[in-house]
Amino acid sequence: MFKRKEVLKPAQHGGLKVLETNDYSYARGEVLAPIVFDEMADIAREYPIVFPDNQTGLPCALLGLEDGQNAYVDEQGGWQGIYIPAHIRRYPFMLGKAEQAAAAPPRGKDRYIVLFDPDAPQLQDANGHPVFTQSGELTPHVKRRMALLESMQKAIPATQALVAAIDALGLLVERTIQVNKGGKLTNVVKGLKVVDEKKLNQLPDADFVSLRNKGALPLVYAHLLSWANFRQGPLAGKYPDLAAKADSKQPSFLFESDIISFSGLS
Amino acid sequence: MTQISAVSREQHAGKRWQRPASYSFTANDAVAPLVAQELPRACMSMPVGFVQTPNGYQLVAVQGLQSGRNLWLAPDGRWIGPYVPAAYRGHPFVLAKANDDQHALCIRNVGGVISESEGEPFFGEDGKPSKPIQDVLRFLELLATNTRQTAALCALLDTHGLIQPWNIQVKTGGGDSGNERKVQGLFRVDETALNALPPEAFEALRKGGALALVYCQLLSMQHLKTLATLTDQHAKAASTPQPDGNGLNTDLLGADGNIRFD
Repeated sequence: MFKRKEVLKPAQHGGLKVLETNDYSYARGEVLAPIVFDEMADIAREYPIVFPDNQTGLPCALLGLEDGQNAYVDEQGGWQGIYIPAHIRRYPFMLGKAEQAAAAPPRGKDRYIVLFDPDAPQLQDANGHPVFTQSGELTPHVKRRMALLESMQKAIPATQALVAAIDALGLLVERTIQVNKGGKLTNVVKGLKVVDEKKLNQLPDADFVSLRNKGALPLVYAHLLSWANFRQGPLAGKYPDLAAKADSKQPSFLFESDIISFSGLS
Repeated sequence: MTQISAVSREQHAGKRWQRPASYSFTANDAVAPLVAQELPRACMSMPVGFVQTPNGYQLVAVQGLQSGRNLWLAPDGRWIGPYVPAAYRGHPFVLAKANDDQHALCIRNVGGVISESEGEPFFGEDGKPSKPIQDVLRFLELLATNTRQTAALCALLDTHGLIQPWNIQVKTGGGDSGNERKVQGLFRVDETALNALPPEAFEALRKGGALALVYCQLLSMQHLKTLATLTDQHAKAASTPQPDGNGLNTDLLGADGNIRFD
């Protein structure tokens, strides 16, 4: 989505207008959306949560299985889901770390500047909401958007710490997803990591308790549960072979138990 | 009045039974019992909680915001949403306790479920229970085992003081004119108590297999919003005249039979 990033400045962008739209065509090419802890439960309900090998250090909602094909954006640009990841909603704005030189921030605190994508379709419409008032302040409308950016930014370090805690215990393993269409292998998705449930179950007590004390268990379980979103929702609709494969383990009269096994039961 | 009778060669040889054509038999169930084994699936679309019974807490799917009303049932008898609780999948059969801890397969004989000519035979020509009857018996026995395990898990949570009343206030009708609904009698996991649990007690939960249940329940609570939406959609459907008396109400359902939220 963010093809170009420019620093938002009232002097230069005084006339900028942003249109609020239900057209998510701009996200059609996104296959991963980084997520923060606060939205984890909403994400788990509709998207598989994965841990990609990338620089963000954040868990991601998996939106598509082929390059540039977001299964959650339909032909008209509508979003096929109830909860839309904050990463998608914040576009065309994002926060970036300010260079330290100018005004040195208090020790240990980063300063952030607002970046935006000048080519975003939302910014090309004369009917949009003004970004700045005549005196160069952010308009109330855009302040609400900034609040979203701030709440995301605040949640990022804590979310990264959770992923790091899970990873440090060796719980993340790489999983390959084979994408079949009409019985033919069309794509192989690599570089996604998932929690190995066996390793989780075999984790020594002390490690498990440390995971709990760090508050990482809700993320672990949300992630494990979220795998069901290959069976239902847009990914299942676009890749029925995958959904069928995920479903084949479940004869009509038997229980599903491959997501979280209750093998500890006696 | 539902008549329940044990399936027997004397009564049912040569007769047939019909699979339910709709889920209308669930119309009055504001909650449905769940077992832990189906929770990973159920909690992805339904709110899950507990109700109090004389034998302790029972795990349930929340299906309505008022007693006697199942919102997951469409007016035309279809099930709205991706998951049907296992408790409904054995219908019209139930297991009843017979002597010596033995279970007997019984059938609820409502609305012409049993017939001379229509549906599946109870017994094969060799006099043995037919394949579907054997399947449903195996299913119900498995469900009974899972139900006992689930009750043990609920008891474990209760022992550690982790179940607390779930006071639900749901807004339906939208906007400022919406109604606040209070739902009482449901229970949930006490997350504060869970987080404050000493390590040994937490390990006991983990070893007992109760943690997955705990996190499934906590995650599922956000689906209350879905029930509020369903309430509004049912109200809208009820106030919209149908083209004819038998018309399917397709407003509630997308092409895939799932609910759509626009």
